Amino acid sequence: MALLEMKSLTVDFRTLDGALRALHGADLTVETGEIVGLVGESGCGKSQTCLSITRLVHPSGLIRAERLTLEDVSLLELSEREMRGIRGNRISMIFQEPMTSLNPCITIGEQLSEPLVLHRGLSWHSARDRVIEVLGKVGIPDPSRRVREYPHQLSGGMRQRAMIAMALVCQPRLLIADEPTTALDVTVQAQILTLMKRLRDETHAAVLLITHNLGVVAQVCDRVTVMYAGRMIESAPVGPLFARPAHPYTKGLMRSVPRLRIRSGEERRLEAIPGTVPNPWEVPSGCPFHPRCGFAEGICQRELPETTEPMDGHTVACHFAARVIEEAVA
Amino acid sequence: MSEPLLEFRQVRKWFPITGGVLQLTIAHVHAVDDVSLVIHRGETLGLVGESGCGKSTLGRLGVKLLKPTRGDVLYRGRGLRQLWGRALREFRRKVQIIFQDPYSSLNPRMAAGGVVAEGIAIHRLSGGRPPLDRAADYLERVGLSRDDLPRYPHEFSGGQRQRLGIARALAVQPELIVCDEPVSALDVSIQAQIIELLRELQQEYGLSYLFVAHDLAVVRHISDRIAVMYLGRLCEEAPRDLLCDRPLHPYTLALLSAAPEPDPTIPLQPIPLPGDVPSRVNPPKGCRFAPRCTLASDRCRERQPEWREVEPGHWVACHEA
Repeated sequence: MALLEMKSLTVDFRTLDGALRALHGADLTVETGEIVGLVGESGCGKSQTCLSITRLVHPSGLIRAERLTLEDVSLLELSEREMRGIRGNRISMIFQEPMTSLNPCITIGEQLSEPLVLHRGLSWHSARDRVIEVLGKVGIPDPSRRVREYPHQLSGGMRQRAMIAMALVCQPRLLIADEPTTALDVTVQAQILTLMKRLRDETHAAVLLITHNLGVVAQVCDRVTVMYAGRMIESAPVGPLFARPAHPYTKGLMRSVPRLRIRSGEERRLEAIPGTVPNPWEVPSGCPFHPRCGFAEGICQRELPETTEPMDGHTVACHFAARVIEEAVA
Repeated sequence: MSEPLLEFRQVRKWFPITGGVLQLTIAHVHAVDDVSLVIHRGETLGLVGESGCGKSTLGRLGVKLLKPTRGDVLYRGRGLRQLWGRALREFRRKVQIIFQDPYSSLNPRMAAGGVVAEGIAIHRLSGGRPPLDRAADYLERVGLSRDDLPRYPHEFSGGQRQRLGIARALAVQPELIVCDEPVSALDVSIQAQIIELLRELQQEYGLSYLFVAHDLAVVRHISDRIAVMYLGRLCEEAPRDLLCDRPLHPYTLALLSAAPEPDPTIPLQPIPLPGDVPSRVNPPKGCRFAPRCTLASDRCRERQPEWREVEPGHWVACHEA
């Protein structure tokens, strides 16, 4: 049994111009102790996927799924009250900008104690001891002093560590991290990534990491799912995905990122993917990527490709996956 | 080496902090301290560093959006302080800037055509044709279309807005463009489009760039030379490959080691940097990096290292290098 199972998840938003589908049948599984990356560009639906898991999508959005379970409990059948018992407890989240997710008027100690008091019934006093312990674990120096401080007194990196500590106090089974390092400097990012890997090893929590940074994905994830226009187009363990991408979009992304560790004097033109991400109101027919795809033929315009598994554990939704892989190996 | 175009000479920029009832200056933020740099004609100088290191301030000093507290910025050998009247106007045309967030730097009530045509009209560069007509040429050159002339900034996507920002800068036929984090707000696939566009335009128009960014991989890709800044001072400057393959300053090393490579077979092995970036109001008196540097000795904590050339074209400010 997987920790998190998601099958055919759709999210529809009611708008003045009619229904808008943000997610088209998303499938995702996360095993205990695994770091799964969710990659894609703005508007591809990666954040909506995470918000659906915690049922925090905007009230105008309707979530439907064949299956959405955490440890075999169906999340969509829970009452709002039961769901509140799960958020911050068995599933917790970290967001991109720690300053906007921390309350500026409450001390770090009080904010971090709250989940323990609410979910675990601890007294504020004993919660504080646990908070100090967790703050130490995420690498905040002098935690017993820091608990009395306010968010603005912490640096950006320290705030993100405090956010991670807050997400971890109740020892969640699943940690959802939505672009946790995007707002941070590279040296701080490296520290946070190292920390997340270490915490995963220590707590065996699963991590669902949302990011657009392929470097981050390559460095910390065990498995990766690539999203495009509200669909999951490719999913594979990180090694094979980078070695043999099977979807032209994944391949395009990899060719468009500049690399730092190249041979001296090596000139490599970045092969940008032409065009832009489609507007959700005007998603192209057939395969949504076909107007930007170098492999596209007539069939791509007409038919949505089925998800296939050309290699073990490597799924892809492309009519010409075999050809893409062949070219990657060559 | 070709002629120097823009030169920073011992440039310092301190921003005053005022306080009290009388709003007296009580301290200074040391944004840029004694920076000397040269940008030659036709080359790209990459300027990297983390937030608050002063790289954007330096970019703004270069286009005279800010005036240095001390030191001089020279354009073709003439100090910017001495520029006025016609010469200043010419400088304003020849040196352009594009920003990270093109949305906040474009007038929301001005259509794309106006944004681009304004400079053409002011500097009388339309060559007898209607400025809007010329503007359309530039829109097409940067990958937009003539039909975009009447569209407003909010109607464009992020990447298109950045293209518009580039067209605006390009339209006045500049020699140098300061690019202040031009791709950091963009998606990966769009980022590559903009980088390649900037490179093409450089070839075509013989432009020079001062490319300010925090992403070393992007900077390595586009620059001829790279300068690294930390807390208002330069740490190291060298030709691109030299800096990336044989860095000498411990901070450059740390920065390089922290960049995650998009390749799972090259594992991330960041050099730990203890502590946080010190305050820019009271920077450390010796080497600014000393409090976080594993190689630091008493000398580093006491004395500011001098900016010296260790091999041709490779400059570093470190006692231990």
